[in-house]
Formats: sequence, structure tokens, C-alpha cells
Amino acid sequence: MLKENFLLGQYFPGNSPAHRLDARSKLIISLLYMAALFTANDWWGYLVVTLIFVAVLAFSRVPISLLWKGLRIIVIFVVITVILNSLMIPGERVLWQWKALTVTYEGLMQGFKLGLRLLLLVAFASLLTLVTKPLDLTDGLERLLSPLEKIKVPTHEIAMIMSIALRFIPTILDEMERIMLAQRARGAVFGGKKLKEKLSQIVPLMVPLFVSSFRRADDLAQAMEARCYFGGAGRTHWRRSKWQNRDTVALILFVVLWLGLLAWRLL
Amino acid sequence: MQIEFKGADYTYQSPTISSLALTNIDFSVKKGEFVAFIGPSGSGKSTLAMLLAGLFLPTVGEVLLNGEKAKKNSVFPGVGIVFQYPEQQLFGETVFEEIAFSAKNHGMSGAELENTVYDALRVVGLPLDFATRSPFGLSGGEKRRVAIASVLSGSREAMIFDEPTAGVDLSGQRWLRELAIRENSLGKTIFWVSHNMEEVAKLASRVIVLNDGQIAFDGDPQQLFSDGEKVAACGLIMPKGAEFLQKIKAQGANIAAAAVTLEGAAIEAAAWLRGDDRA
Amino acid sequence: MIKIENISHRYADSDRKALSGLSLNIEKGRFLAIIGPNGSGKSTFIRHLNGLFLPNEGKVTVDGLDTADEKNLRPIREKVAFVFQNPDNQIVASSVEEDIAFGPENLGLAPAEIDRRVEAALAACNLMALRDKPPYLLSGGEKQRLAIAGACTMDFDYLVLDEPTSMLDPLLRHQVINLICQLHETRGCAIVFVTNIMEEALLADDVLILRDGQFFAYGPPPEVFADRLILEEIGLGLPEISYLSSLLAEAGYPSLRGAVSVDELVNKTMEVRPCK
Repeated sequence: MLKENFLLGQYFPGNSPAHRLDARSKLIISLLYMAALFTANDWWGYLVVTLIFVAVLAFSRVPISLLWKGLRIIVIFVVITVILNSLMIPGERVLWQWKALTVTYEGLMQGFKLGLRLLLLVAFASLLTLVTKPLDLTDGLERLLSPLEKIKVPTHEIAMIMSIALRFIPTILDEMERIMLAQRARGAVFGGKKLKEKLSQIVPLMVPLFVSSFRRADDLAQAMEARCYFGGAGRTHWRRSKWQNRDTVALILFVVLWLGLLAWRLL
Repeated sequence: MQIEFKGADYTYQSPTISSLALTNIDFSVKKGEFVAFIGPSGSGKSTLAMLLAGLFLPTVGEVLLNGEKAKKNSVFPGVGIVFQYPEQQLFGETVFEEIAFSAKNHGMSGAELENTVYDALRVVGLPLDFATRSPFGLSGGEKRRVAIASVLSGSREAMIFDEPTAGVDLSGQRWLRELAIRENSLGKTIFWVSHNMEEVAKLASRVIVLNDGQIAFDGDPQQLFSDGEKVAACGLIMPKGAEFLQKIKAQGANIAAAAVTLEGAAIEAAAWLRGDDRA
Repeated sequence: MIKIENISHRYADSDRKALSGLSLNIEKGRFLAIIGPNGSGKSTFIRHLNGLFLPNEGKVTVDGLDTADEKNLRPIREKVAFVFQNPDNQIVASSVEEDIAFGPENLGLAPAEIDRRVEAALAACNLMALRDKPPYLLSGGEKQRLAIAGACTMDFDYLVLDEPTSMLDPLLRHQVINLICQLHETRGCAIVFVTNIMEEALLADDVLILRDGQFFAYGPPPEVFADRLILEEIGLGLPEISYLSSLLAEAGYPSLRGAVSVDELVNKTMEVRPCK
């Protein structure tokens, strides 16, 4: 089932400390974590950000098996990153050579560093959506961005677009499975090795998906209008979370951690 | 050509749940038969259709086409399946490309391919010059015909129709049924999955009832539908024509109450009203 | 009352008319079914009832409010609730209760009031147990009940449904139909129901038949379904018993025409030839 391998947009219900934080603090914390990922520059730094991730995972009480399943695809990208970097980055200590291809120690290390960053980045983002209800997430984003309305940024529309996108990800994945089944029934084979094969396989999948998505958008617009949607003006929000002490504490904690890493790097 | 199910089970597996959809399915179908599959919701009809096509492999037991199992990741050769809303799978730049897709994937090319595509167009009653048009510029009904033609081009042996009349109006339904009957008369084996008793009573010479993942009946539709108890035991509702005749019989009328379609019931009832009692 | 006065509607980029010269009054509390072959304009027609489409000619008023006037659209859409054919393409939020709250949020109601309306809608549509579920875990029937629950929050007088069951599992359609009938009885609202499933049209007080965007027939189900030949000519089927009833009438027993249920037809038949 495709849905198990693609976690973005899926909420894992629960009542952990991570679940109970306000979406706004979680969003800011995610940004701080990503900043931390790119601030960390050596093995001590990477150890710290990895430990932070593990701590957050513990606080969210999400089963590791669930997270792992959703990240398997990313692991492929990580491996590719490691390999490409190993081959591309010039360095002094050569580990292995064959014709024009050279793997250097520096390249390998660089590859690992980048690969780790990528993995932690996606893992943290997935964790964010797992412990935050989609509505809270987009609502939190809207509230954080609301000062931008003064310079005519359509924050409500942005939040609404994201909210609808998140709601439809699992639905569209289901549809993709159905289309794949129908095309397989016509003899299509998905999952060939060569790139050229993979490209030609995409068309029977993507074209019907796009066509139905346009239709979906049209239908949804009508449904929203029929329910008196006229844009953001005058809308109220049924449930809005409140910022609490624990949010301030968590935020300060992450700010301190990031500043610490920054200091470590600069000194 | 022969399709055999030998003690086949199918279980849907996901990390969180595992549900047994089909248990101990045992039957075989010869070339040229017209078999209908009916059953209440959740009875496993659609799963059965997937196994028939070779799209799913049984978790226990075997499903064989001419003695061979389906290969993983590819369907049974020569077996096509028409899903609900088949027009949703269109993607080609031209109608020709769309219809050729199935045949090409099965290894056809050149003149043989061209003939297959034009044949399919003829069977669905579309003019041959449609071949150069874009499938997306066609009307709803025309799109459906193209989608069905595209399945036809890959199904020399058998065709499976999985609840094909969903969302289709009366003339569309009639057209589909006639298509199935015509293909059957040319020797193709037809599998028709439906919930519609009337439709099944009209079309099939053999009906297999699925209830709760198991086969509850395998035989003549006439035998099934004229027996109220059997119908109820299978979790089905009587076709209205048969229900009407049986209620008249219950009031004392001397009729056989054998007909199962509406037309058949009208003929039987009219005969009785005229006074032609069953001897 | 919804008054449709002589409306016509042209397809975009074409001179072809989707609807021509249609007039109808839909009174509060009535149950109207609209049927017609594909392309007859049914879907286009009902979208005029809440101002989603505007007529090129003629006028539509809902309790006196003209749909052509933009400032009327909000009150009109509160009175006229709409349920669409595709269950998925009308659900906006990521959980049942949040989606039900969408309408009241659009109206700018206070959270306490939204609370009240959401609870009432969940109860009315039997969705309490599913309130936290995301849409992708709902069955087609549950999604349609969710759409109806969303309508329930809007204090509607008219419930318009565009083939609400055609994309649902045929043997589970009754769940949605039952809910619609229940609402009709308990709230006394009007139901306008487009369908391709003739058996469903039997539930209505009146049936409107459209053909090529024009009025073809109108009347209570036994009248409209009395003669199969008239309907087959325009490509429409009949509910099964009406069909049988018509066949028997053609076989020489006119008193059997117009039955809509098995028992009714049985009684009529026994009157022709009673058994001791």
C-alpha cells in the first residue's frame, strides 16, 4: 500500500508532549532544527543534532517502525548522495580507484555528512506532520504569517491551499494505486531498471492523475462556494489552540541549542 | 482455454491489519462460458476479479490459466479487465496510441498491431477515423468506448467486467451488455461481476455467488433465483420479477414461478391471467 | 419557494443551449426527483438553484431572493444546501468534525455556536463515532453522510443532491437514502434529488423529466412511470416493477398499469383473476 511508504500529510493520533504543543511553537522549532542541521559542521555537531532528533522522537511517542517505513524511500536518496559525493569531491586520501572514478576519504565523509542532514531533515519534517493535526499545522502557519498581510501577502489563501493539499495527499495516493492497477491490467509494467523505461512508465500514470486532479479542483471549488466560502474575510475559526508555558519552554530550549551549536562552530 | 481456482485464499496485508477476503475458492471455467459473479458488499467479488486477471496472486492455493500460474507483476496473457469508470485510465495522445497500448505491451507490432486496433474500434462501434483524434476531446460515452476498446485489444481469451454499469445510463448499459454477449458468441470467455440480479439473470448461463468470501452457489441462475430460501441464504435479494411470481403463487395461483427476468415474469403472468394454467 | 422562471442556459463557448425555457416552482417540504438521459441538463439545472450557475435568460428566486444578485448568494446558500456526486471532491478538511464546521466558519459564527451546530449535525447524521476520522478512512456512504451533515449545519430549507449515490457501492446506497428521507420527515425540508437510478425516483412526491435541456414530463411517480414506451423513446429506463407493470398492461391488462411496488402489482393482478 502506497500510503504506508509516504507519511507526509498523515497524522498519528496521540497525546504525547509533542502532540500537546501548539502548532506555532512546533513550526518555529522545526525551522530552528533545520538551521541547526546546517550550522553543525563536525562530528560533535552531528552527534548533537542526532541526539536532539532522538529526544524529540521519544517525546512524540511515534513508533520507530512507522517512521522507518515512511523513510525507506529517502534512504535511497541518501545512499545516492553519499555515492555521488564520494565520487565527485576531490581529496587527498584516495580509498579506491577504477579507471576515471575515484573515491576519496574526504568525498566519502562529505557524502555522509550531507546524507545525514538529508535524512534528519526529512525525518523531522515527517515527525512534525505526524504529531500535528493538518488543520492545526496550516492554522499555525497562517497565524505565524499573519503579520505579512500588511504587505498584501495572501496568508489565508496560502494556509487554505496547504490545508487542502494535505487533506488530499492520501486520497490521491489511493487514486494512483487504482490507476496503476488499471494500467497493469493493460500490460504496463511499473518498476523497470533503466531511466528511460521509468520515464515512459510515468505517462500512463501521471496523465490520468493530472486530468482527474483538475476535475477535482473544479468540483471542490463549487462545493466550497456552495457552502458559503467567499475567501478569508469574515471567517471564524472553530478551534484554535492557545500558546502555553510549555511552548515557551520548548522554544527557548531549541533557541539555546541552536545558539550553542553556532557558538561551537564559530569558536 | 481454462481458468482454474484450486483452494485459493486471498488475504489483504498491511502493517496494521490483515483481512481475509476470500477463502477456499474452488471452481473452473472453460472457454466460451459466460459466468456472473454476484454477492453482497464485502463478499470479495472485486478481489476475485483481480485474481481472475492475474493482477493479484492468491496467498494460499493456486489460480491457473491453461495450467499455468500468473507471473508476478504481470497479468494473465489474453485476459482483459474493464473496471468501473474505465474512461479514467485514458492517457494517450491519440485514440490509436491508447488502444494500441495493451496490444503493444503484449508484444504486438506492425500490421498485426494496426489490425488489432482497428478491429477494436469496429467492435465498439466507433468510426475508424477516430484513431487520429485525441481521446480527451471526445464525449463521455465515446471516451468509455475508447477505454473499452483499449482493453479489448489485449484480451483474445477472456474479458472480465467488474461492475461496469456504475454511473452509466440505460442506453450505455444496454450497449455494454450487448458487447459482452457479442464477444461471448465469438468464443471469448466472459466474467461479469455485478450486484444487479436482473442483469445477471438476463446475461449469464452460470452464476457464482460469493458470500463472506466463500462460494455459496455455483450453477444455473434459474435454479438460484426461483428458490427464495437459497437466495436469502446467499445474502441476496430476489429479482423483482421472481418475487412477484412467487407472491402470486402464494395466493393460490397455479403457476410454475420459474421465470427470473422481468420479461419472463410478464410472459408467465400474462399466460396465467389468460387462463393457461400450468398443466 | 424556489421559483424558476423561464430560464435558459448556454454552454460556455457555444451557441448550444444546455437548458431552454424551463419554469418550475419548488415548494417547501416537497420531495422532487429529477431524471433524464445523459446530457439532458439535469446537473446544469440544479446548479441554478443555489446560484452556482446563473441563467442567460430568465430568473431564479429563492424565497424571493434573486440568484443573480451577488449579495443574495450568502443567504441563498444557507437556505439551499448542496450535496455533490463525487463524495471525495466536496470534503475540505482532514477530519469529519472539522469538515462539518467548514460551513459555519464561513458564515463567521462564534466558536460556541459552531460547537452547537457541529454536535447537532453529528447526531442527526449518525456520525458521532466517526468524528475524528480523516476522510481517506471513510467509506463512500460515510463521506456522503458527512456532506449531508455539513449541509445540516446551515439551517437549510432545501436540500439539493446531484446523483448522491451513483458513485457508491450499490448495496450500501440505502444508508444515504435513508438519511435523506429521515431529514425530509424530521425537518420538513424540501428535497431536490437528481438521480439515474429509477428506484430512487419512486421515493419522491413528484418526478421531473428533462430531455435535451427541456421539460419533458412532470408528475407523481405512478403517472410518470406508467408507460415504458414513452420513456424508452428518450433513452430512460423504469423502476423494475413499473416496467413489469407496463409490460402486463401492454399484454392486454390495462388495469395493471402504474404499479410501483410488488405488493401493489400483486393485488392488482389478483383483482383481475381472483383465487378462491
